[in-house]
Amino acid sequence: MVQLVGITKRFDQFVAVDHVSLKIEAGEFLTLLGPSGCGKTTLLRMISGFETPTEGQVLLAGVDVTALPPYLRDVNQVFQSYAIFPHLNVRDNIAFGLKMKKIDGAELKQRVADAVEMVGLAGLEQRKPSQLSGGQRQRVALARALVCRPKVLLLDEPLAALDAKLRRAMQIELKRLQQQVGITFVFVTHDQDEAMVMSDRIAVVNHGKIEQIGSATSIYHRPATRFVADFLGQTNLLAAEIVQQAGDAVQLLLAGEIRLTISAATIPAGAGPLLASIRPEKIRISEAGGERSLRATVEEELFRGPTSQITLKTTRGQSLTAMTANSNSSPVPRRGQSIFFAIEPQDVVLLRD
Amino acid sequence: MTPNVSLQSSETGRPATRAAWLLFAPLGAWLVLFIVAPTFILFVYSFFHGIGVREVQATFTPGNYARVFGPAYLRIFGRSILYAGATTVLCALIGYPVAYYIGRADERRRNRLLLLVMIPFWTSFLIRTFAWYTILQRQGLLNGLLEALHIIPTLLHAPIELLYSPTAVMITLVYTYLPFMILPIYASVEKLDNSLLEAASDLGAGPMQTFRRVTLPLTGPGIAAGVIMVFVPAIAMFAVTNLMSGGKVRLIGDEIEKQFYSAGDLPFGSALGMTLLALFMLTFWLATRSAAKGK
Repeated sequence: MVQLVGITKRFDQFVAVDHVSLKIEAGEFLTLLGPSGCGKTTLLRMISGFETPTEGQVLLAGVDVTALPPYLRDVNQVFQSYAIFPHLNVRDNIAFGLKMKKIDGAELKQRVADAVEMVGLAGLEQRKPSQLSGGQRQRVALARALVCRPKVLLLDEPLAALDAKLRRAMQIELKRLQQQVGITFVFVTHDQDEAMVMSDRIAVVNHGKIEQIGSATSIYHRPATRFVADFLGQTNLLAAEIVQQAGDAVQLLLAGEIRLTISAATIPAGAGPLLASIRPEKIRISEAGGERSLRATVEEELFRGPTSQITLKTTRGQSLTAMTANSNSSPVPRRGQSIFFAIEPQDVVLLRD
Repeated sequence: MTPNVSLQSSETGRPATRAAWLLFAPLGAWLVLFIVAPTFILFVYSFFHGIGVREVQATFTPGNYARVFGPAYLRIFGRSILYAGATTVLCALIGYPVAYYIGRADERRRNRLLLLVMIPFWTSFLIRTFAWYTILQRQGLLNGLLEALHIIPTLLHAPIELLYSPTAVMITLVYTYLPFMILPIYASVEKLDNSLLEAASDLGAGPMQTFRRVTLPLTGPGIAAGVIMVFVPAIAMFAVTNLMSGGKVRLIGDEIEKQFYSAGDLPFGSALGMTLLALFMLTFWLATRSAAKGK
């Protein structure tokens, strides 16, 4: 539905987007995830037409729209600030795009009514934006864009201004809405939880480039770069050395003390130093040692409701973060306590730095 | 000790009210002394008989108002409204694009341009009017420039006679009041959220549609303020209009001045003044009402 071909955007000397190529399928919910200033919003604004790429093309349903202004593109955007017209009431805000398309009479009425219904604003049609809550304004912005039935809906951090509880509710609602209307959504956020909950695919953006693209599970479990491993969720990054290789079996030494045997196929190509990424919830801790388990001291424990986060210090002084579920009644290790931890080879993801 | 106690112990807000009145007192005294009292005096005088130069008989008559609404003075009022109205429209037409350009410029540029708009205020209004006098007169800068460029005598046969004409009056009026139109419109343009313009474009509105449906309604209050700030003083302009037109264009301000000075008919001058005041209030009411509608 959307295809970016070798897109580069430079502002004077600053390269905001650096040779990005990306294909977004029809009906897909794609999230551009990255820290602020990574170029994700610029990328979005080149799809909507507010920025013109310095190099490359934007294709929309197979048609090159690179030179088209926003008002001639069949995409609509939900702005971070919502950008609701303050001088128009809810109804006229939602009808704006249809009026521009010269749709009027019964069809206009019906489509506006449907959009109002869809986002749950029934009864508020005559309200002015100043009389609406943040969540309601957000719905107006959404309805105003969706009522135009765009090929693609672009959402620029639309939930950033909402409080945590409303945000979580809106994430689920947005996802449901997207499945209901079947429109391609391109969503920009810096919130990794939001990205994981909502997206079919996530493109992790950093320094104007897409570091990795894939489903939430694939990116979370098999991050391709150090940045992705670190940005999406929490992780432990340990220096890894190959100690010995016999056929497919490779013996690794992590942080100078943790020995593991893995398959040679899991070692990424390239020349940079090897790093091992281990998610905190994969580190198993126990009071009694077992096979392959190592000793450590509990440095700190943070209770987080469903989970507890435990910082360990290994005998050689390496810090490790582990996560335990508080689902069973087993006691949470106390600070200063000596315990054992173990890492399974299949839970280690190797990266090149 | 006693007032101190009452200030601290009371939670009714009465001492605070007293403090507010005390703070307001200087301004209140000023308003009463220089606005309310003179207006009241004018109001009372407008119903007196004028019996000679600066001589007044304190008996009631509606006769002054009957004269104001007679054909001779209605024509002068009409002319004043016409000149002030034309000034307002021209100021809006010239001022809006200028204000828009300044309001959308980046901050450094914006401040420089604003400074340029305000520089004329550094010299006296009278001096600036005389500057126009020297520019427009027959042997003035404008004709000198046209001659230097050989437009005279090739395209134009003779120097243009701008001074002592209604055009000269209009030039002076527009020149004088343009900043009063630019500044309030600038203030509303500057507040205009760029994402609203982007949203309009995103929803399929071309530049003209965006202007008509978003920019114009949202800068409406600025235009209304500009209209008040130009129309109201322009309608009361005097002396300068007389100077620039060589006495050909007499506006209501000139007439009021005449009644108070040379003619000395104080009651009739007061009646003209009160009528003008009513006109101001009507303008103000209309402009604020249309601005409120625009919101």
